[in-house]
Amino acid sequence: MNPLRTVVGTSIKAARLPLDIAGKLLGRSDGTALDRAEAGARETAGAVLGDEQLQRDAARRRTAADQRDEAQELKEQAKRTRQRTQQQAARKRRQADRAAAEREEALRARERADRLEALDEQADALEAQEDALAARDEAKRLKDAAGSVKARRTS
Amino acid sequence: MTPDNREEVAGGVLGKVAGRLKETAGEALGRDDIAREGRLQQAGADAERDARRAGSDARDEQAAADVETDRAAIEAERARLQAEADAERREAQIGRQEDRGEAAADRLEAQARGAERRADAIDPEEQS
Repeated sequence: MNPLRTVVGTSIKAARLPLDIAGKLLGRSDGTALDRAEAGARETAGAVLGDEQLQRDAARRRTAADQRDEAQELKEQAKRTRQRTQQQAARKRRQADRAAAEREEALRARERADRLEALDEQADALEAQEDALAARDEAKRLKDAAGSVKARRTS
Repeated sequence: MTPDNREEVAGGVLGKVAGRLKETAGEALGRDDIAREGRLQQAGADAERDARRAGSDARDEQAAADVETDRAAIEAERARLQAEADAERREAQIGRQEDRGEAAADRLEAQARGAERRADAIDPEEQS
């Protein structure tokens, strides 16, 4: 282990520590900004000191930061996708509910109209039955009258 | 003779013919009572025919009304079932769209976990 590299690494970590603690206490996350700053500091130190290991370390940290940024972006995309899906489903359900209510009302109106029509037809049928009964009574009356005249004639 | 001092007279076509004969004979013989009996018998036969027709018409109307009532009930039931089926189909469609959206979000989250694993593999020190 290169002692100078260890000193640089420890110094950078020490410089970063209060920022990490403050971020955690405040509940804020600055993403990979600190990782990138640390990578930048290591790269600079590596260049100044001519330490290739420090420079490779910086490149590695930057690549990891890229991956973490990508992961964060993907998580946010997933969150947006879920929200959009739920909003669309809720909107479609509201539309479907409205359409169903309108359809139900139209059905009820049609049912009322059909029922009224059926009742009208039943009323007409009853009227026809009344007419038929009246005609039967009239026939019976005339037959009885003829029978009475016949009875008087033959008595 | 019937108990209330009436005699039975024939009805139907036979009654009509008999009534006509009585009317003609009564007029020829100057017997108003026979002619009247004949006219009444004819009128009774006509009325019987009318009553039969009216009864038949009434039965037809009742049958038509019953058919209309049944038709209305069946149509209402059909429309209600159709509405239920449509609602179920719409809900299934919305459910499928939801599933597709959730699956897309799951895939993105899986990709995110993959990126995090790669980051941790590259730089274990900064594991979040």
